[in-house]
Amino acid sequence: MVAGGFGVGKTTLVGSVSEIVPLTTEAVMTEASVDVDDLSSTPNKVTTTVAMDFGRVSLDSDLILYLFGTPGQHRFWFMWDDLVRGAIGAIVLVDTRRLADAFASIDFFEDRGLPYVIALNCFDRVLHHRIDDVREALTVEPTVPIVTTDARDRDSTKETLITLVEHAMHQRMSRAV
Amino acid sequence: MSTGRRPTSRRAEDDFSYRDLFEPEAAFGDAEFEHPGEQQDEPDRRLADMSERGWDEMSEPGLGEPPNRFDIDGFRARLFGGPSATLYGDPGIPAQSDWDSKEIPAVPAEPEPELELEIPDPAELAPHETGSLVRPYTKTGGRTRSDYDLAIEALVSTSDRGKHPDAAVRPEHRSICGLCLDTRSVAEVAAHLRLPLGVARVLIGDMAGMGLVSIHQSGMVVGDRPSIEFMERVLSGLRKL
Repeated sequence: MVAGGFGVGKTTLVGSVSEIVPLTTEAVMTEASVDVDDLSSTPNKVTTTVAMDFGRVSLDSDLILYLFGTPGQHRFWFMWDDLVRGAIGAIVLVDTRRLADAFASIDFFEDRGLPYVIALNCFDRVLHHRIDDVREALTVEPTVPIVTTDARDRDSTKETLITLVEHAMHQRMSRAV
Repeated sequence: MSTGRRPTSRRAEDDFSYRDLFEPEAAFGDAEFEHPGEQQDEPDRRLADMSERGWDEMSEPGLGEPPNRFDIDGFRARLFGGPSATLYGDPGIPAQSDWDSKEIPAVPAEPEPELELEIPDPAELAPHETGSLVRPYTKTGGRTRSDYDLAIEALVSTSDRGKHPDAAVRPEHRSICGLCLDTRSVAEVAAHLRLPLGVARVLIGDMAGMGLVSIHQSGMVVGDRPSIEFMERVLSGLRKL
């Protein structure tokens, strides 16, 4: 799954490796998931839809990787739990000019124990901060990989995914021992 | 403390700016000489604007009266207000303010529940299939949970039974049978059919129960996490891309 702040390039990243045009799915959010009867008796109740982009990469004849871009707004975290289940890991896409946008995502993955990597999206190939500074600013453990990426570039995204899977495997094995 | 009333001397200035912003042609045409008819319209328009102003002033009592401020906010309220206001993440505009329900006649509340109570007959659903007027979970008979615990990435394919043309009766089931001739994930089905994820889950769960589709959950999961073997396959797959 791909997380990050609003407008940081999540959909672009998903689209750069996906073999399909990123699709959008929606979940209907009603307050505390009230059922239909309750809703219909209060027709003025606000129903909000949450959009979530995703792409697909066929790795093998029987192996398909799905990339899910998380809903940007953090109040839609109920959807994140759905995504975490069965996920290999997460890419937290970061715009170095807006580091603070990444805090909530990082906290979430730390809390759920989902392996994640930080990918600094280099808009126009400009890195605004040194990686060490970013690590310190985000206060992530030294074991968490921080990579630079260009969300528009397929190879770059591929490398980021490989880093993530390697990190996830490494984390799993070190915990199993 | 500001009130809803302003000094008369200011009105002309405000009115001019209002048109300047939202009716550019009027700003040029009418600024030179006022039409008599225009003057008569004034009280009505002012009345219509009153409720918005009232709300604005309540929310920001300390800010005084910058010129044009209320007209602009009234415009904003109309743009970003209403039922979908929360989508814009703007806490400044309440989703449903008083003026909204007074000025725009609310959708009649009574007929809707009746519509939804007629769920049991599947044929009734067909004409409404794409209409947003039908609440999403109508298609599932109001159920929000499936018997199956479906992951959003679980793969769905139409079973041999589902390929039989008469196997699926309900239109949604038929669409899903058609869509899943190629194996697809639950999320893809939802996106292609423009169904909310939860609805797609229940429908697919039903169809699995009826034997119309087969579900392939990733069998390589230990607890909530993929197994090492699974990740190795993903890794080698990624490297080959």
